[in-house]
Formats: sequence, structure tokens, C-alpha cells
Amino acid sequence: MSATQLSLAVLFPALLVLGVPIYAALGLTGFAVAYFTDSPMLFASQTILNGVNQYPLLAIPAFILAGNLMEQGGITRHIVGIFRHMFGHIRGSLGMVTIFACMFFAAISGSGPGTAAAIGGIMIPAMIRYGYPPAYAAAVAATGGTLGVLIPPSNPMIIYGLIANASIRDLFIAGVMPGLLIGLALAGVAYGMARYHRVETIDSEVGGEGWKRLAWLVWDGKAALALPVLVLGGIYSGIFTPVEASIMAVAYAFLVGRFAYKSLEPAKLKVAFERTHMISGALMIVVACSTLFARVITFERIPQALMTAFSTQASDAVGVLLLINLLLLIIGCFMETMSAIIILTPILVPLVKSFGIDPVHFGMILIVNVEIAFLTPPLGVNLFVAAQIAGIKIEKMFMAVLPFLLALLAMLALITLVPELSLWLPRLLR
Amino acid sequence: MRNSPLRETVLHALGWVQVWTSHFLICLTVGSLLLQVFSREVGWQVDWTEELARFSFLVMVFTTASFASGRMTHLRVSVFSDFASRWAVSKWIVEKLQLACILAFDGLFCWYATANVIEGFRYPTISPSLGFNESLLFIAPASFFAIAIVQRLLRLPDGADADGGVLPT
Repeated sequence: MSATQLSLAVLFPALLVLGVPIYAALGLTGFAVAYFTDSPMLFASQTILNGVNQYPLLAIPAFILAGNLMEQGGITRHIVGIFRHMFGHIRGSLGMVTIFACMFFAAISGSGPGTAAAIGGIMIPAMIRYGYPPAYAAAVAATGGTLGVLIPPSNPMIIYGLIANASIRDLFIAGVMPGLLIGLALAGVAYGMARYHRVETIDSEVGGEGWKRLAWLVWDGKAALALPVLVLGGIYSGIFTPVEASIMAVAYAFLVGRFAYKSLEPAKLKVAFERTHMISGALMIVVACSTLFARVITFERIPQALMTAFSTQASDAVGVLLLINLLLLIIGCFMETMSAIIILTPILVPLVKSFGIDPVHFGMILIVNVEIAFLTPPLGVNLFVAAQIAGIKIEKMFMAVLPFLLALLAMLALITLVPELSLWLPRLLR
Repeated sequence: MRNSPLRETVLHALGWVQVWTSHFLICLTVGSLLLQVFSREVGWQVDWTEELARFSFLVMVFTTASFASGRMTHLRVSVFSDFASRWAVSKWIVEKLQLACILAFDGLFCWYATANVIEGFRYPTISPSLGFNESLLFIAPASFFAIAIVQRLLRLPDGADADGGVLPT
């Protein structure tokens, strides 16, 4: 085994297991390989900087900032209010309302845990107040939050698109159908589970009944409702690139929060900015360092070796996808999802392409796996977020989240086996 | 050293530099792209906005990474190390190893980024629109990773030498 292979097979996994920040693990492995192969170290640091010298990446901190501005500026509250009024009169419907609100919020935000925190922060206490089991309330919000990465815009899709050399616009369009399907399936499970728990309460906090009240809520929340139209409509109609749409979302969220709803005070603005720096700083440095790692992987011809290994195990595209799904589900339990995409995409995309699988279709499969990974212990980030809001131990959520996980697994199988679910809309709009 | 006013002042100043540089850069990125959209709609020829946005974003990546490092929030696989940290001895070993790895990478990157800046003065790479020497961008990782190293070293007496935990993205 060469020193390079030793670095990849021993050093990198050892650093990850040790809990070293992923950027440092990727970077140290890259520097070690550069040292062992007598490559100039200057090039290694240039590769890290050039890894983020890609224009589409600008959309990620912008979408993160837009999400934080919306949360701090009260836009989330308006979205939730409308859905509560629409469905709140149905017995045991608050779980369903949570999923629908998450679907809508996902069309503005690109983050899974961000969606779970924003909607869960309002809906989990409300559900608990109305007699829903806390574990159920937390599980619904955690699951609904996963839609944040599938329904466009989506930060993982931007990263995947850049690494896989797939059109980010096509990926955003491809996410619509699976996103709606999964959202409806999860809403059905949420309603079914509420009935199973015999929750009979009606949401009485939304004010008077009837269309007049709903019309007033829609009118009052018009600024919030217009945001997905601006972001997604701008991208799909070709008026904006995804980067420009993200910037428009920031400007719009700021103007609405500051001047329309008048709730984005300087202190809240500071919180929104600092949260954005923390999240995007932690994320983008991983993207930067992964470029060095990806170069090492390509240099060592690891995708080719993997292709040979998979070819012996599976003879067709479906077989390969099933094996990859299994691999991703296991990895998702232990690795933060965005890092998993960054590390695995350069390895897996050449493999799936060699089996004739469309990278956009594979992107959707990968993103649904990311969704599931948000819910699988021990590193299900959405479980942590929701459990913290609900004030319960994470172990209590495992059983409550199981029906949602089964629904997501069924949808993953459907999306894997029916490529048209992902590819029909992008082809139609091309 | 632990309660030294000088140490607190230095830590505060470094944190202030990180956060306000990041604020300025994200505003610059958003502002220049907004100007790009606006100027395109009204038919102005403003071809430097994209370059300015890209450069400010590039610098921002390293200032915010340094900021996140200062707040001890970085992405990591914490399952196994958290398990090992149940026992005092293994916790101590894991934390020291983590710190050594972080300092090793930060130091290496800082060093070679500085070397790239020096190299850039000898062989400049000039950007087409702004006429900016792109090698100077390496000043950002060099300086802000140096700040991150100083912060970690100054916090050693507090025992805060490992990262805080997994950050939701």
C-alpha cells in the first residue's frame, strides 16, 4: 500500500472518528498526500482557495441569510398562521399543518434543520398545548424540516450540482415533483398518526372561522407569500440565475421584515447575520478543503476502482442504485449530510454515469437520502433541533419518527425506480 | 493568565474583527450582486460587479470560517469521539489530539497561504475587470487562520480546546 493510499484508507477515517473538524480532516489528508507525492504544497493551498472560487456557491450564504432574516423578521409566523387557519378546524390536524407550513417554508429556505427550527419553534409548543404527545410534535417538525433540502431552493442541490457538473436550475426544477409527493405523503402520515394517538382537539387560536378571516390572513401575509413566487418564479422563468434569486431573497426578506412587518430590529438583524456567518463559515470551509480531497481521489482513480467493484455486485442501473442507497443510508447515520455529499459526489457520480443514470435523477436520490439522514440516529440533526424545542430526550423521538421514516423510505424507492418523477418537469421546461 | 484583562481584551478585539469583517463582506457581496441585477435591467454596463462579489465572497469564506472556529462550531463526526469522551482520560486524549490536528491544519494553511501572497507579488495574476492581483486574496486565509490559531491558544487555560459540536446546515 502506497503512502497516498495509506493516507486515504487510514489517516482520513482516523481523523473523522477522532472528531476532528471535517475541514481539518480533509485538508490534513490533502496536505499529507501532497507531501508524500512530492507535489508543491503551494498548489495544495491554491486548490483549497480555488475550491470556493465558483460563482454559483455565492447562493449558499445568501439563502442561509435570507432564511435567517425571514425567521427573525416574522415571515415564518405569517406562513404558519395561514396554514393553521386553512386546516386548523379539522380534528387532529396540527401535524398536517406543520408539514404544509414546512413545505411552504422549504420553498424559501434551502436548509433542513433551518426549516425544522423555524416552523418547529412555533408549531411544537402549539401542538403540545393542544394535547399532542410531545414526541409526536417533535417528530412531525423534524420530518417536515427535511423537506427544506428537497423542495427548491436547496443548498445541498447547489453543492451537488457544482461537484457533479449538473445544471442547478434543472436540479431545482427536478425537486418540485418529489418534494410535493413526499410532502403529501408525510402530511398523510402526520394526520394518520394524530388520529392513532386519538388527538381530537381543534386549533382555536387562529381566530374566527370562515373565508373572510382566511382572506384577511392571506392579505396580511401577502409579503411572505410572494417570496417563493419571487425566488422560484425568477429562476424558472429565466429572469434570475439561482445566485441572483438568492440575493433578491435576501433583499426582499430584509425589506419585508424591516419595513412591512416592522419586526426586524437591529438586535434581530445582528442575530440573523451572526447565525449566517457561523453556518456558512463552517460549511464553506468544508467545501473549500474538499476540493483538495476530491483531487486526491481522482488522482488515485478511486471512482474507477469503485466502478469495477460495483460492476461485479450489480449488473444494471437499478441494482447499482439500490446498493448506493444502502451505502448512503448507513453513512447518513454517522456523517453530517452536507459533508457526505461533498465527499461522496465525486466518487459516486462517475459510477452512476457509467451505468447510464442521469446525474439529475441521481441528485434527487442523493437528496432524499440526505432527508432520511436528518432523521436517523445517532447523527440525525433534525432530531436534535426538534427535541431541543420540545424539551424532550432524543431517545423518546425514535419510535415517533419511525412511521415518517418508513414513508420516506417508500418514497425513496419510488423516486429511485421511477426516474420520470424527477426528470419529467426539467425536460418539459427545457 | 486565565482572568488576565489583556487576554480578554485581545480575544474580544479578535472576535470583533472577525464578525465585523464578515458583516462588511456579506453586505458587499449582496450589494454588488443587487447592483448587477439592477444595472442589467436598466441597461447599464457594469461588468465589475460579478468580480467584486466573487472576491468579497472568497474572502468572506475565510473570515466566517475563522469566526465559526472562534465560536467553536465546526462540522464534525462527533459520534465516536463523544463516546470516547465519557471517561476523563480518553476525553483528555481526544481533546488534545483534536486540538493538535486543528492547529496543524490551520498552521499549514496559514503558512502556505502566506507563501502564495509572496509568490503573488513576483508573479501577479491580474483579474480582467477590476485589475486586481488575485494572489492577494490569500491574505484572507493567512490572516484569519492566524487569528483562529491565536484564539485557540489564548483559550487553552479555559480548557476550551476542542470544537463545540455539530452545526446544523
